[in-house]
Formats: sequence, structure tokens, C-alpha cells
Amino acid sequence: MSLDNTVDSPSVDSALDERLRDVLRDNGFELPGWDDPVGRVASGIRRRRRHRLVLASTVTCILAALLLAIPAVLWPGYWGGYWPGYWAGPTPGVDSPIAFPGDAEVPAPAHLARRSPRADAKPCTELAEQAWMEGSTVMLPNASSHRCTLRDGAAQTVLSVTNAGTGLREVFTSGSATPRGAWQSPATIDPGEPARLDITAGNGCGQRFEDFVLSVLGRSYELDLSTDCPPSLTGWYVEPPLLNAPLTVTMKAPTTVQRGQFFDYVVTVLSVPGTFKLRDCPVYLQRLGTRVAWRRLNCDRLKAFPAHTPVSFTMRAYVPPDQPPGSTKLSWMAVMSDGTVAIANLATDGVKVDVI
Amino acid sequence: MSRWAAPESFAEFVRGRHGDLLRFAHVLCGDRYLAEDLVQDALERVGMAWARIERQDNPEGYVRKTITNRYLNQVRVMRRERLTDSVPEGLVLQSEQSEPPDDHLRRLLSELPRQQRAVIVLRFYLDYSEAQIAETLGCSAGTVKSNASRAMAKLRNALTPEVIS
Repeated sequence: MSLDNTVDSPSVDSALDERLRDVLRDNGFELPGWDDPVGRVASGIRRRRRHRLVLASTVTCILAALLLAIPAVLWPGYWGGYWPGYWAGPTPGVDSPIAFPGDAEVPAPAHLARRSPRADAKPCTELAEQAWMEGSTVMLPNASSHRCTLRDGAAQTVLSVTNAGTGLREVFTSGSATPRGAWQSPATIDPGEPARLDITAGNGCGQRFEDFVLSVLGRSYELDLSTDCPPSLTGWYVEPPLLNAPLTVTMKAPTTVQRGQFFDYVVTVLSVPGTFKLRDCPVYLQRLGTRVAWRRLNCDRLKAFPAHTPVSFTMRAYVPPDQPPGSTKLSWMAVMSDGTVAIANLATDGVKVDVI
Repeated sequence: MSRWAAPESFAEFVRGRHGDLLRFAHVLCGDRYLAEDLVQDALERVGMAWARIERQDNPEGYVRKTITNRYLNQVRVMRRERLTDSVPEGLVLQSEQSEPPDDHLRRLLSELPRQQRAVIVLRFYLDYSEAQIAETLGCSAGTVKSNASRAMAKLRNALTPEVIS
């Protein structure tokens, strides 16, 4: 059989086949056998097995290292903060609360991170049936199921009050004063979120004003307010909410505190999603009744809040002698270096204490 | 890890067949030392998986296939050739006129591309069919045919009818 189908001369081709068989099978390619073929091959196999073992061990070590390192890189708190870099001995505040560092107060932080302004939405048409006051600020929620914008002109906001001196009703329109603090206007509000309007004291005090009724979008709201000055209204605005750091803060305080004395309470910070690195030691706001103070946490040796590891701080507060007896609220809020906040007992904004 | 010892069947196979395998590798590559490397490498690979290969009833065919494929694929890794100006000792250059016909044919075989040489060796040394060659080389029967055709054409053109006959 010939493999070459293009042969012109079958006899020549057949002769070439035979020549090839002869040449390939003659003794010219004979090689002497090995002295100890089995020993030679077995030693090579043992070498290969050693190499294979070393390779497998190396690959296993690399994989194990990757399995440990990848979660630590992707989720820095995966190993509970005990990964090299965060490791600096036992985490302070885990076994016992970090001590109160002292009573020195610090300035309030210059920046608090807040939600960015909402883009304008459709005009509000459906507001809550009831408004409420927080100090001199009217809070009026969006009762619809969609985001809307409350503009001063479109809302037809009018405040009518009774001048007790003359007995006449007087009418004031919004937009004559500027809100205090952080605000965004016009008031674009999510469902359930309140728009705000401040009622401030205008010029010409000395007369009594009462029976405040605020009319918005054809609906009237009676306000529990009376002043000795003619009221002045800001426009509708929203106070963008503070942005929370991914920390859960709880606090335990005595239920009863005594006027004119210090008392200690414990704040516990828990970082659930991962280790929360501390670039700077946070400052915190402590509010007891009307007494407000900013201080800095005791961050001695504390570089981060490890994931899933509660870190406790001992706090100290002073009850002023002039604090009225009765129930009041103790609240606590830490501010991180990026301006985000961590509020203790966020749902209730603090704990109730009885002052005696 | 315990020291590896060759199973008796493997030891018997190596003792009995390594001579033929050396000769096959020599025919295939044309170099004594490379042939020894190829056989050593193939037997070590086969020894590592002897239990499995033994069950397939044709260990020798498996070893020959390993030798062939190692020759075709790994020869460059195992022996990187360096071009030098000097001729290796022992190599005597002869003119085609003074060269014996068998040596002339061997030299022509050594000048063939590896794939073509492998096809010729499997066909004329082992008497493999086209299908067996294709299976051994892991290619199609058409590729075997074309390689064989080119190799035979080169040999026919380089040899005079007198030398062939």
C-alpha cells in the first residue's frame, strides 16, 4: 500500500517504500539497552512524585493564603478586625468599656454630612391633615404616595392671627424671613417627609398675637402658638437628613439621675457590615435636657471599630442644679471625620432619664 | 511519603520493552541521546499512572504514542538547540556523491519536518494504517495523507531512481 497517491511511477514508488522499510529497520538505529532500566525509571518517577508533592503543597498554601486574604481585602472587617494592619493587641473597649477621658469640651464639627438636594418634582397637592410644631417651626408632611415640591407661590401659604390689642385678624404671607441652619428650598419632600416653615418674631413687638391659623393649599391648620411680636414667615423648606455612618450605637444610662451630680453611662458602638476604620477620633454630642456639650471620644489605641465586635465607652454627664425635676431625654451622637453621624438609640433618639 | 517502588508488572514491562522503545525513539528523532530522553520521559509518565494504563491492555502502544507526542510537542523544551559556528566533534561531512545510499536516505529523513518524519516512521517502521497514525498523532486522516504525500515527494525528488532501486 502506498500513502502517496500522486505517484507517477508505481514501480518507483513501491521501490521507495521498500527502501524506507529497509533503512528504518536496519541495525543503524539499534541502541544498547540500559544497565538498570527499572532503577533508572523508578528514580525518575520518585523525582517526579517529589516535584508533584512540592507543587501541590505550594498551590495549597497559595490557595489558603488567597482564601484568607481575599475576604480581608474585599471586606476589611471579615476577620473581625484581627487581620494584620488592624492588629494592635486586644481591641480596646471589648472586654471592658474605654474610660471617660475627661470633661474637656471641643468645638462643634464644622461639617455634618447631609443628603444632597432632591430635584424638583410635581407640585404638592395632598398634604397631611395635621401639622405640628417643633419649637417655632411648622412641620407639614407630604400625605401623597409620591415625591412632590411645595413652593411658596403655588402653596398659597397664609398665616392669620388675632391681634389681642385690637381684636382684629391680621394676615401674614410666607417668604419674608430666612430659615436657620441647613435647609433646601423649594421643599421637595418624599412621602411622609415634612416640609418646614419657621415662624419668627418680626418688627414691632409689644402686642399680643394669638389664635394662629396657617392656610396651605386651601387647608387650615391651627397652631398652638402665641407671641408678643408680629410673626414673620420663612418660605417652605426641607432640612436634609443627616447621613448615618454604618454603625449601630446603643447606650445604657441610669433611669434616675440627681441634680447637681455627675453620672456615668455606657455607649456601645457596633460595626456590622465590616470594620469601620477611624481616620480621626470622632467627636460626640451629649445632650441632657437643654444642656449640650461636644467632646472627643477616648480613642487611645483604637484604630477601628472591628466588625461584629461591640466597643464600649464610659461616658459621664452632669445634671445641672437648675434642671427641672421629672423625665427628660439623654441623647448621644458621634460625628465621624467625613461628617457622617452615629446616633445612639436611633429609633428613640436617646434614652429617658428621671431627674430628681 | 513512602518511597515509591515499581510494581512488578511495570518493572517487567520496562525490562522487556525498553530496548525496542529506544530503537523506535531513535528512528523517530534520529538522535541517540534525545531518544534516550524521550524513552525515559515516557516511561516515567507511564509509570506514574501504570495502574490505569495497564488496564487498557496496550501499554506499549500508549508508550509509543507518548514518545511520538513528546517528540513532536516537547522536543524544543527538552533540548533547546543553539546554533554555533563550529561543527560538533565526530560529525563528518560528506558529499552526496561519496555518501552511501542508506546514509543518504537517512540524512534526507532527518531533514524532513518532524510531523512528516513521524508519519513516515509510523507508516514504514511500525506499519501503522492511516487511521492508526491519525489516532497516534491526534490529527485527521487527511492531514496524515498530505504529510505523507509531501514527505514522499521530497524523498523521490532528492533520490535518483538508481538509489531508490
